[in-house]
Parts: sequence; structure tokens; C-alpha cells
Amino acid sequence: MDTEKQLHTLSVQNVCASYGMSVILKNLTLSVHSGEIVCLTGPNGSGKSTLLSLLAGIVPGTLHIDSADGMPSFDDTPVGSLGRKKAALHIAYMIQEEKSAWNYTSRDIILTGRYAHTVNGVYQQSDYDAVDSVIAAMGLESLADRRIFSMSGGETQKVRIARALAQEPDMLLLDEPVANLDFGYQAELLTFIKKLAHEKNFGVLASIHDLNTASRFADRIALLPRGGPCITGLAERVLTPDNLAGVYSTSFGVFTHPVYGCPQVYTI
Amino acid sequence: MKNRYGRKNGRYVFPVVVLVMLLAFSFVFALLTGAERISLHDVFSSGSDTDFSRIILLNLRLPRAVLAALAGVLLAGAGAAFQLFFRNPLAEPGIMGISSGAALGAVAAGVFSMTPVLGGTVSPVNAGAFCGALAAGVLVSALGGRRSGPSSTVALLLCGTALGTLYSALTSIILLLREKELHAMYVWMLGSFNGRGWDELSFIALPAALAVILLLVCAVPLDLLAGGERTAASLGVEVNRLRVLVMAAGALAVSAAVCAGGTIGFVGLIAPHMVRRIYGAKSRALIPLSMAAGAVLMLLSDTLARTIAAPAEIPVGVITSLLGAPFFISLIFSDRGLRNGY
Repeated sequence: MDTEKQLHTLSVQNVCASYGMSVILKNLTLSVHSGEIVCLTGPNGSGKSTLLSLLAGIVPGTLHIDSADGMPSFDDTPVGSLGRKKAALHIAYMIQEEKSAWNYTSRDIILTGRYAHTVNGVYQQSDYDAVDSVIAAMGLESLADRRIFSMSGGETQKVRIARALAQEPDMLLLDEPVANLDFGYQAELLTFIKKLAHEKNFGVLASIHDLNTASRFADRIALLPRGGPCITGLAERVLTPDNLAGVYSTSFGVFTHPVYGCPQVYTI
Repeated sequence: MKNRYGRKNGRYVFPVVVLVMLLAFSFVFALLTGAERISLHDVFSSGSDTDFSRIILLNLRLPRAVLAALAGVLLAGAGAAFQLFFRNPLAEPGIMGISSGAALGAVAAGVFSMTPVLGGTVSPVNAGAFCGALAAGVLVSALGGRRSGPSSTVALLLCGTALGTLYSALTSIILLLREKELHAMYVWMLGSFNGRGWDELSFIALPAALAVILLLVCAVPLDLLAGGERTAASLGVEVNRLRVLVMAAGALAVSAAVCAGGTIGFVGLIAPHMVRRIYGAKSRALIPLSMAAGAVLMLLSDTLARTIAAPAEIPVGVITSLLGAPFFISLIFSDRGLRNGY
């Protein structure tokens, strides 16, 4: 079977969700398809992380989903009905912050990304090979045998992204993947993920605070205002002074990136 | 493609071989030393004198050594599993109030000379300990399970601690009311394999085997919990199911272990840390390696408990703490510990 041609879709329709009295997501509809990078952006507290965990099928216990049809689906199958192991074969999800309880080596941590591919948790040679190829592709050889407690925040972040890529998912959900990384590696990593997504035909939904970074790397932008439906589309359509002013309650100017030709924003 | 895991797995072979050799040595050592010196020659030759040796070996030392090793395996395995599950280096088999439940069961059964239906030839105290521990495990799981998601793990810990205090209070009340048994029960609570034999072993064989299998089944998914429950879920672990498995395994393991030797402290806490400090955080190998280390610790401690003041016996729990604490502290501050630990 030619997996390159398969088109998968991860989507939510009209979802409303709230923590107690505070509404987080309201009438939100979003879909991500194979091979595209969608950057999720919006102000603090607009529900980016909640949306990502919802799409991953890992709903926080205190989150209340108001509409029955609001549950996410992967190719028309509700994510919640897949079971965690099957879901992890299709969807990799990196949470925003994570602290390892034990001082494992990077290689051991990246290997855990292969768990969903194992039978009864027995890692095979193919799993070790997959880990090695991710390490090589991301240029992490120098980190591979180091222990996690001796690493910086950025290095830890790279290991976590490597683990998500080792899952070889159809959909990659990343919560603030470049927040801890320096500018050089931010660009390098996002370029790498974009290239890989196009090559291996997986979809990416990444929340990124920096609008200009999002604009440069996204195939589509999803701008999420507090408590409203999200504005999705090409960066040129979404990142307009009017849209941004409405979402962030500040005045914005927009110009075109001199090299990449994508819209870049500045606050006024 | 040749990758580094070939070498990595090779490195696992060495600790396993060393541990197995240590285990074999401490087992034979436990069989041959004691108040009565036994030589292998006596056991395999015939004569009235050697019959005596053989009886000691087969009816006293052998079941006792097997019990001690088994208790070590169970306590260390449960300790490692609890540490991994609660992501807490302080977790130990008693953390869920299960040991306190065992003590309450033992005291209640001993003082009121209840002979549980299950007991049979096993002393009521030991059978009571088994039932108490199991009941405590079920109760705390049922209470903690009323919540779902990551908060339920915290709820489980808090419920366990609260229930443990409650059991201890009840135990104290019973003991104060029945002062005659105070000394005997106190000694029981310190933990000892004195007078335990084939009866206890056959009584706990099934729950112990079940506990060992469950603990080994949990080893790989528990490894994925290092980054928290949400990360584990995203990697494909059914965290709620794992919680049930770990609780069941822990309750069975501790029940069987207290039936074998009373509430022996410290082994369940230090065995996993020893493995981590000496071999490095070994992820999925931690539970099996801890089990072996626990067996070695318990066998050596029990042999010492039998011989140090022979023919009198020192409670083995005293030995594990007395020798374990300084060794543990020295490991924490050793260079190797600092390199491998945290």
C-alpha cells in the first residue's frame, strides 16, 4: 500500500469547552490534513493548549465539553474511541512543559516514542533503528547518550521533539515547540519539521506565540481569539491589521518579508 | 545497520550476571550458616548425625531462605513500581497505607485469635496480616479511583497516607487494650522470618507469583510515566488501567511479603535506589533488577539476623534499617551515585 498517497484529517466541529464557569473554546471548528503545517496562534488563555490536548484525545479531567458532536475525530473515527495505543500510532502530541522524574539518557527517552509500535512493550531492532535515524536526522548525536538532568531547557525540548517524531505519526501536535530554543535552532528545527512533514506526508499543528515565526513556516494559520471561533487560512488572509487588532486588542502593522514574501507584523 | 543498542544491551548483561551471582551466593550462604553449622558434606552423606543436618536444612533453612528471598523480591519490586508510578523517589511499599493495614490485620487476628477462613496451617497473625494488607489495598484503590485523570494519583497518595495513619491508630488502641500481647506484636511489626516455613510459603505462592507477573507486565509502561501522565497517555499508555494494575500488584506483593516476614521496612525503598545509583537510571530494567537486589538484601539481612546473636534472633527489619541506612547514605554521596543519580 502506498502510504504517501493517504490523506488523513484530524478535526473538531463546533466544539465548546469550559473549565467550571470559564468558557475556553466556543464554536470552534478546525481541521488539519496530511502534509500541511498549521500554526495555532492567539493570546494567552485563548485555549491553544486545551485545543491541542482535545485533538490528541487527552482531555483534562476538569474540562467540560458542552456539545456531544464536539469530540475530535481522526478520519471520521472519534479519537477517544481509538484507545491510547492506537491513537498514539496516528497522533503524536507534545505537551508544553514536562519534567522527567528520572535521570534517563536521551536515547532511552526517545525510544519511548516507539511504545505504540511495539507488541506488549517489547522494543524490536526496527524500533532502535527508527530512534537512530531520528537522532541522525535531527543532528542530536552529541546528546544521545547524555542524561536528561544535565541538559538545558532547549536540549530537553529537542529530545522531546525527537521522541514525538520517533512515533512516526500521521498527525504531529506540538504545544510551543520552539519556545525554549534560540533563534538559529528555531528556524532550523521548523524548517526540518516542515520538510519532513511534506516528505513523510504527516500533518502538523503547532502552537507558536511569535506571529512572524508562525507566518514564515505555516502553510495555514489558525488565529484563536479568546472565546470565539478561530480564523483560519493563509497567512496573508489571517494576519491582517483588522483581525489582529480584534484578537489582541492592540494596533498592528503588517509588511511583507523581504526574503520569504510572507506577511510580518509589528505592534504600534 | 549496526547501532549503539547492541553495545547498550551488552551493558545490561553485566549487571544481570553480577546480581544473579550475588543472589546465588547469598542463598547458599543463608542455607549453610546459622546457629547450627551445616556443611554440604553432611547433607549428602548418611548417618544419624547428618539426618539432623538435613532436617534443619530442608525444613528450616530452605523454606526460610526462599521466603526471605521472595519477600525481598516482592517488596523491592513493589517499591520500584510505586516510585515509577508516583514519580516520587520517596515512594515505598508502605506509602499507600498497605503496611499499616497489614499490621492492623495481624494485630486484630492475633489478639482476638481470629482464624481466618484462608488461614489453614498458617498462624492467624500472618494470615491476618495478609488479609489486612489486601483489604487496605482494595480500600485505597476504591477511594482513589473515584477521581479520574492525574489528580486521582495525588488523591490516591493522600488517601493512602490518611488511611495508614488511621490503621496505625486502630492498631495502637487494640494493643493498649490488650497489653499482654504488646511485646509479641511489637516484635512481629519489626519483621522476622523466625518460625516461618513451608506452610507460609504455600499460602503466599499464588499471590506472590501473580504479583511478580503483574509487576513485570507494568515495567515498560511505567517507564513511560517519567514525563508525567499526560505524556505517557500521548505515547500510548492507558494510564487509568496502569493505575489499577500497579495498585493490584502492589497490594498483592505487600500482602504476601508481610505474611512471609512481617512489616520489614526500608528494603522496598532502597533496593530501587541502589540499582539506580550503581547502574544508572535503567528505565525498563529497573523493576527486575530491583527485585534481584531486594532478594540479595533480604537474604543477607536475614542470615545476619539469625547468626549475629545466635541462638537468639534479631528482627530482620532492624538489620535492614541498621545496615541499609548508612549504606544508602554513602551511595547518595558517592561519585558514582552523583554521576548516575540526580
